[in-house]
Amino acid sequence: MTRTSPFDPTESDSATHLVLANALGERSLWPCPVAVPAGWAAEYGPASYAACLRYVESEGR
Amino acid sequence: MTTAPAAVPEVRSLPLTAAQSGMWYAQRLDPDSPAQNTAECLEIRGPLAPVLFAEALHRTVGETDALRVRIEETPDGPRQFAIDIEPPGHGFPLHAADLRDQGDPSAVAYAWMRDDLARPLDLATGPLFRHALFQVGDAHWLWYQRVHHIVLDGFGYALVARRAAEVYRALAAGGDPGPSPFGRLGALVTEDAAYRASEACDADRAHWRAAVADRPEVPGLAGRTALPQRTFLRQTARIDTGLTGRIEELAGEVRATWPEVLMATQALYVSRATGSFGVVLGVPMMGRMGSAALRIPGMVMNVVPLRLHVTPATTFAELTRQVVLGIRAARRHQRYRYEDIRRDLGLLGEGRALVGPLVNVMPFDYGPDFAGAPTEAHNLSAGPVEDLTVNVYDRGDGAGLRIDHDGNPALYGQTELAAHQERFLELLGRIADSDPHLPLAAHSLPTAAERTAVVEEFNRTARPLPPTTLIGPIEAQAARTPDAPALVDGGQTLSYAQLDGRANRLARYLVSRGVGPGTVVALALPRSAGLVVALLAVLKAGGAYLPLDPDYPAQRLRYMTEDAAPVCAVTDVPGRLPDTGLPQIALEGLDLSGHPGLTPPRALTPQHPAYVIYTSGSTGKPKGVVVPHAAIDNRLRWMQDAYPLGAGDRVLQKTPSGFDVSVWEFFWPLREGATLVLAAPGGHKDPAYLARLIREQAVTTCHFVPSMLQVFLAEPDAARCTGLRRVFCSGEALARETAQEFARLLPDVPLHNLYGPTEAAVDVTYHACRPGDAGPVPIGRPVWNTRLYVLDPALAPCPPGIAGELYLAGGQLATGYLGRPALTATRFVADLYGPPGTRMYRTGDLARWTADGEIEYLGRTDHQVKLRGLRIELGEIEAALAADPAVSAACALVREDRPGDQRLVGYVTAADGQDPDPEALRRRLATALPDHMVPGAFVVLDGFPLSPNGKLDRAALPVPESTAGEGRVPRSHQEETLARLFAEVLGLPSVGVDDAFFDLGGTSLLAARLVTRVRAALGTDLTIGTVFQAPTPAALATALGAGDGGADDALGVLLPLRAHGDRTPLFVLHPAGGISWCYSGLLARLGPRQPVHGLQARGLARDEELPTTMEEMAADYAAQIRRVQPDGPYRLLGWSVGGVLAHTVAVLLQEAGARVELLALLDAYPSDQWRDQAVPDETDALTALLRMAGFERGGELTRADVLATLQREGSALAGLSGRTLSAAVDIVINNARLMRAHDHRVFDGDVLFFTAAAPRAEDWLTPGAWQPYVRGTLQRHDIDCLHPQMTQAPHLDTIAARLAARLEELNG
Repeated sequence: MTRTSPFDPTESDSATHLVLANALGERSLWPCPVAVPAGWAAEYGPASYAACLRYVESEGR
Repeated sequence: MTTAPAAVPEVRSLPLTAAQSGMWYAQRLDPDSPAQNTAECLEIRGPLAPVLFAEALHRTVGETDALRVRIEETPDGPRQFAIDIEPPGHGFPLHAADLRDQGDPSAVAYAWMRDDLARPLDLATGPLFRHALFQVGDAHWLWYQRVHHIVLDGFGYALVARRAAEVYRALAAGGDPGPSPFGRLGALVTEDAAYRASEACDADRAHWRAAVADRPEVPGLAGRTALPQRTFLRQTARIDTGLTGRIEELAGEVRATWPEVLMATQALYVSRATGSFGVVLGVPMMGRMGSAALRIPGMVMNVVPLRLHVTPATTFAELTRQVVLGIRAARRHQRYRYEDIRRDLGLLGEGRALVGPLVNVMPFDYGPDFAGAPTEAHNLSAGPVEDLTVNVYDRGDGAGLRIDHDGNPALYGQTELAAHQERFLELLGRIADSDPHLPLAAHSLPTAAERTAVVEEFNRTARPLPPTTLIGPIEAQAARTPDAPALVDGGQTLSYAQLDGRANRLARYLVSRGVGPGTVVALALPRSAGLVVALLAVLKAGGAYLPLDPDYPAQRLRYMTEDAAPVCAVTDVPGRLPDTGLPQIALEGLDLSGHPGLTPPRALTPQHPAYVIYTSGSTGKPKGVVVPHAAIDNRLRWMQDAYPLGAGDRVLQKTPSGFDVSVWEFFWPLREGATLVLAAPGGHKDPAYLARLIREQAVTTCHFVPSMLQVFLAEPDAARCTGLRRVFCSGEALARETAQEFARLLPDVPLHNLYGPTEAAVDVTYHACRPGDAGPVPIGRPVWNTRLYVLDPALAPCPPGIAGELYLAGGQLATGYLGRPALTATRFVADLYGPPGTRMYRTGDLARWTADGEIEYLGRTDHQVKLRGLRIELGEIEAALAADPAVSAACALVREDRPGDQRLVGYVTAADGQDPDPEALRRRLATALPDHMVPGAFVVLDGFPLSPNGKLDRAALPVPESTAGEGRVPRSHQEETLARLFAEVLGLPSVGVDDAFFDLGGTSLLAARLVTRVRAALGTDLTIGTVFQAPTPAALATALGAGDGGADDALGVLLPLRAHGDRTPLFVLHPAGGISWCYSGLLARLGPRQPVHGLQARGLARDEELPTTMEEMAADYAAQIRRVQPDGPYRLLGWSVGGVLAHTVAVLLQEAGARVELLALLDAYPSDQWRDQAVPDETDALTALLRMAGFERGGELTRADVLATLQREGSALAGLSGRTLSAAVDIVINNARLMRAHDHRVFDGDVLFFTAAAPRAEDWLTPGAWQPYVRGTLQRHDIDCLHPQMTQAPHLDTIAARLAARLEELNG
């Protein structure tokens, strides 16, 4: 069964995702078309899925 | 409208159109089915002359070739033959009735219609239509027409109805209706046949092939498929003129038609309900391309696939554009049959759908005007329903649209259909009212009421709790009940004060080594009181514990310790972990007397991590989940509220500490004043042991992974565990059958199904099983301070009944993955529905809400699997396989080729010039992965099967071949029966008598099934343990049959466990009891090329003098070995006394000039170590014999008692006669005596030594005692088990893997 999740890796280079952060400094990948939830703000992006992950990895270390 | 019908001469018989053929074959599958009846009811409000009406109908039928046929099979295939239709009053199929005197005339009429619609039409006789005219009011008529779909499609219906009205009008006006406007059926058939032979058809075929080759799967809204039934369910609603107007407005705005807007809406609905961006709708089309066909009533309609890509970022305008372009393209190729597209794709089998739901928009301007009387048409049946069909009618009557949701009753209930319709209409309304240029992410499926239920009502779990930690309540409890029993470990009981004191002393020591809040401490201890002390000590010191299973391969242990960077590791004995530079603190010999037994001060908060547990990772490396105190504290407080534990409760601890179920097992009882009962290391896999322990230790509370529960319930003693007060299941889906079997065997014990990932502090949902319930066992409702969301791919909530991905939110979420910020950010994501700034965890589990707020687990959304409750990322196994230089690509899969039996299979393709050897792959993986992740079978493929779109087609991977069914023929009735039962249980065509159960894919689950069948077939008592010990039909027959005094070669001095094979034989020497069957587990593990011969004591098979010295016995065995293998090099292995014998035989062989290339000793110690020990008396020997059979001695006093137990309870020894067992007791005593008197000489070579490393009473035994008698090196391997467990899984796996590696080196 093929189910699609907006948090699954995509091979696309297009800017599909954001990186959100909350007041605790926790980060969340986020799909662009979905409204950003309260208490979170975009910190990076829109950028490709891979670029967003690279950002989180480099900032999170 | 003046074309003469005679332009094409009428033929008496015609072939069928392609569309008709499809229906013909469908009807032939079920000749009595009324499913292909189509029916309409036309409501006529006005004066009507029934006689003229009948005449008009008759004339119209006379003009309609298609209606005047019967269809019969001929040698040239089915053909339609013209038949005569009698005039009204003389057999014309028109039922007329005046119902005005009935109470509810319309109801009576509709009841008649429903009844008529349920009757099949006989294709072979015809006529294939029927009319009825009911007068239900003075100026109110109902015209019912039923037609077999094989002769008329929807377009044909409209042609016929319009013509009938036209004829009626003419007759009513006293005029001539004029010549028929219809073309001849022959022309339609000819055109259809011509099309199929044309280049246009070839071009259409190519078009559809290209269009749908890489189509997505189309799961359907019910998540499964079924054949169409004889009936369908229908839910009808109207789209009022207001909404219809808004839809038309929207259509204009996006340059489309209103039917295209409806299709786009349905595509959005399907995309969200199936969780797939790819949607394929079925769209019925007229199938008429030329002007001629447009004038001919008949059956040529077709269904074509409409592929759409619906992502959350797509706008409604874009989606509608896709529909417009898709319909435009499809229309050009609409004559190519749906059945042919499926056939071209190889989809003709059941269950492989080409399209999802159908959207059938019928904007036919019906316009039948019966001399001025207004009419309104109602469809009663539109034909068979495969899945779900949405029929939309615009009768052009100004009354808005009618919408029917028709469902296959095998897939949908009436309430589900109604819910789908209500949601669809609400969605349509919201779409009509919103900006079509916004992303579709703004839309969701649930109605407002459903949304409130799934987001709010089902998640009302808020519960204020004090800010405590995992350890705090345990310390408080210890202060409250210092003298209460806290822990039972074998014969040892610790009070709360003792446990607390020991833990405090160690904690203070750990603090001195740098442990504190925020640090991690690795723990590598077998299950023991020491482990519990260490767990508490780490927490008391403020640290988080990291459990390490010392059985894991060194590579993995090294990875975990480097990844988690603990401050230090606590172990039971020195050298437990590979040396990585990490400080290791061994409890053995550690002097803590300088540290006070008082709680150490610490600055611990509920946000600090309590533990780090590693789970399998999809990218090839396991990942550490960091769980804070607040999360697990919430979990344990909820559990105590839901299932209150009291001081009298005794909780079994049997889950290995590396799995998070162990967390509540360890800590819950200690927080509540109950007693923790520890199972022996390895004991969690032995159902007989567990049943005994539960009874003997009066356990009230325990946990099983469902597959282990199934095995446990197959244990005869399970039903006697009536002291249990509650049993928990989690870790994998609990089958209803298992829950029912539990209720049958233990009717008074509640069974609770829990669910949760390590990432949310063990469990987040709970459900109490009730004996009367049916269907899948839900995972239940959320625990305290926990919210569950079932979300679609746009992160919108799914309504009840609709599957989506399960997300978890609330107080139990883990902090994240240790040192993996990116992974954490993709799994712990912003919560759309919770308090601002909070997170939700994406489980990857597929689930749905029930209407009353419970969650049903439906499977995984990815390739993560669970095997016997253990979480496995196939990606991790694939990465390990692909790392093998002989492998170019790899895939791992859990197969379930037999229902309920899952096994892990590795598939590989060879690297250039390489030839991967399955045995070598297995050994390689065993060095990198834990046992439960090493595939049971490996398949080397030339290439991987690919789906049409070039992706790996996992479903097409072959079933692993087995070599079963060859070899020796059964030599007895028992062997024959057993071979048959093996084959049945394993689902194989046949099984050879020497084929080992576990080699052929057997699992403990299947073994339980086998045991039941053998009991039934042979009336013999046996346990799963017997199957482990004697895994082939032959061996099992021997084990079962020896007691009957049959062929006793299983008790001979030389026992060929596997006589054949091209490798140098391995000789295995019996332990104290003289029987070598215990080594049979080696067979499967060493592979079919390795012969194995057992040496057994004299005196078992018949009365014989027992040897008087070890030397004499060894010389006898050496001679026996030489009979099998006259010349060296020799390979010897022995367990226990067998090791002493193996050493002695090896020395004798060397002294005789032979080469001995392998001497493997399993927990055997030289004579010196025993010399000062008392020779066992009969009592000791009886205890030893019981242990060999897997029992601890209970109330058996005499030899007769013990023999009775052995024979009654069943074991590998159960089938032995009293004489044989009695002889075994003598042999045990004799061997002990001879061993103490023996003097070892020196063996010239290396020794492979396996220590049973779990703590034991005989702590003076040490392998080092062999040093004087071994010239080479003693290579030691510690196995975490007790001496009697060495030849059992999983310990034997480890031993056999090391042994196989050595044998492989020797083979060269």
